[in-house]
Amino acid sequence: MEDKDTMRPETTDDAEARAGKRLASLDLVSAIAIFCFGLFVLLSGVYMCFFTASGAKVWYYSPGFFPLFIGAVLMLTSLLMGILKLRTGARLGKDAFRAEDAEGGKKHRLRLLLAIAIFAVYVFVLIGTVPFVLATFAYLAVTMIVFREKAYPIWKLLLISAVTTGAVYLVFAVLASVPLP
Amino acid sequence: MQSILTLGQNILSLLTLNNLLLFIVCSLAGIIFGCLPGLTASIGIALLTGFTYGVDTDTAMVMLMSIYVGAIYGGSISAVLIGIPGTGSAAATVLDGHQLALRGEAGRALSLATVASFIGTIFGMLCLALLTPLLLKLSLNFTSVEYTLLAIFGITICGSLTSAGEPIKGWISGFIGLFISSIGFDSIFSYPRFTYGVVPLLGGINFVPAMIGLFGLPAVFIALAGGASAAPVERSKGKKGSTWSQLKKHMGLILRSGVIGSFIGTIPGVGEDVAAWLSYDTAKKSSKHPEEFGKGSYEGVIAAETANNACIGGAMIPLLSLGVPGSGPCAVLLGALTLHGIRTGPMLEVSNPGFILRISAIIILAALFMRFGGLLVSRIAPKLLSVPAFILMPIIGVLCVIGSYAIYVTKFDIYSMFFMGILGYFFDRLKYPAAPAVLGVILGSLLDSNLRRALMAANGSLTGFFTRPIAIILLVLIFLSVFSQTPAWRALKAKLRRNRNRRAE
Repeated sequence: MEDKDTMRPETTDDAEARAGKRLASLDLVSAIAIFCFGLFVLLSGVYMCFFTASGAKVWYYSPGFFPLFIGAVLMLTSLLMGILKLRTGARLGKDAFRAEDAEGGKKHRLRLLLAIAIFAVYVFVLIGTVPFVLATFAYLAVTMIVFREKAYPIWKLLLISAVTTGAVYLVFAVLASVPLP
Repeated sequence: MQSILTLGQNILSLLTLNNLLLFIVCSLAGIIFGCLPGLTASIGIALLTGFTYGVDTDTAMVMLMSIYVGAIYGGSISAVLIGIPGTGSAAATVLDGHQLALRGEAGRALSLATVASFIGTIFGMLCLALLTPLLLKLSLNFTSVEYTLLAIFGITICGSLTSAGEPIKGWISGFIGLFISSIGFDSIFSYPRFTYGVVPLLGGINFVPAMIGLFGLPAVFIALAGGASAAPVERSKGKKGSTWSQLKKHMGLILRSGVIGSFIGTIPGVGEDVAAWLSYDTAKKSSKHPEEFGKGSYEGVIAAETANNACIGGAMIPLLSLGVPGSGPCAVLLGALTLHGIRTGPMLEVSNPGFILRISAIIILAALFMRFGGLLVSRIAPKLLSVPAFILMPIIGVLCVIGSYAIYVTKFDIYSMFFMGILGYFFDRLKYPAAPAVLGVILGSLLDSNLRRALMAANGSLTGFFTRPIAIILLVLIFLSVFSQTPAWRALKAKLRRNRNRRAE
């Protein structure tokens, strides 16, 4: 026989509690990552303070002192956050890595990766290899078409992309003399 | 009297055709930015900063203050019409503004919000003009010890810049910002830190691409991934009402909300949203009709909107006099001021005499243009709010690219903006606030060089930090700033409240 609670449909409060639990687990993961990063910054600071010829005669005004300070505080704060999260019941488990599920799962992740990938192609490939106006038109058109709602016809989006690109060029390059990539 | 005359002269000298055009365009852009959920005042200022590099300081300030004032007000339009605050500062306006819209009084709610925002902005500006010179006089005695403590104070307020109620995340974000600022040649010995042979990294990460990346790009990715278009709009009936008679009736409330907003603004790191909530809460407690709050109370709209706009002037006080921003948008504005060679803090009136009155004049005019721009935008807002994210957000992405490139004309800045955007995305998902990271990037070099200089001058001794009077005051402020964000402070407050209630019984 199934438990009564498992039969009950999920309420908004249940969903919020689940999201809170996931965030707490994720916080624990981020605390560990930041602690490791803080350790790296601290060790780099120690190296710069004591093992390089930076020009400073004393460690407390050498270039490594500031990273040493930052690394130490990052380690302390992340340690504190980790302890606080453990005390609230957060655990490292499957929950920590399923945080996106609440926002649409796989579809959400796919759309996100696609948005980042298209922007990365625009920034790292198109800009510099083709004229900025063409690169911008291509980015706008592809993004609008890929993420469009079905009701929008493609020709309309191509037109919006062309008009926007023209407007951007006119306003920034012609009127405001802002250098474009 | 002399100050009023100078303020008047400043206003007159700002009335050039070029400036008028910029006031109109940037106020409208600010209102539209604030009105669209997902785009905030901070994003607007961050994006615009990149485009102000080639213009003189006056023009840049006209552009940035217009967008700031406009965006804080603009949040109220979507709050009233669709029940979604365009910016965090308009969250309190939703409660009554949207209820008024639902009962067919959207026109009056918007009108009240516009006029209250206008009065609030002017009130905050008056506080700015009166209080900043006093604080500046005090801060003229600063040495590297005080500068160090001031920068540390700036970082400790990061805990308050978090909306999730977890100050520790704000501090971590602030220190990540400090780390970003430490990349490149160090300021004293020109030693390359964290560059690993990558030549463009030697010059460090510029803060404009960093702030555009941290604020602007995550909004683009999140909106596109979410696949959501703007929520359906409640049509405004645009009912004409006696807005002025309502305002006259609530003059006391407006004054009180202005004081609350300006005061909250002066507390570094607290900001417009807290000001609006506190003012709303106070208005409800002191109202003759508290039962109407949340059901469409005019007082609710007036209190929230007066306070969040009064907070702008208030937040500028610590920014200009101490170099410590009073709110998230002010943290971004600090970057813009630095870019234009305005050295905020003790030396402001020495290096830029008359700047405070100049900025006060700009705020007055920005408020005026916001007042008229608001009337226009509130009419076209329903159409604007229905522009789908998949059309709007790629355009914001293009603006992020242009804004990052425009200042130093190097592709490396576009790349760093991209990586900062990815970092900003993770910050957003994990509920780490981005504003402290920006503040860290800006305050980093100030803290680094002054901390080491102070230690160098004192042969490594820390006594200077505990013996100088202003340093002691700053140390106490740092302690209070950290302590007020800890659970111990909340427990102490609860205990005091319980004791007071017991005594009252």
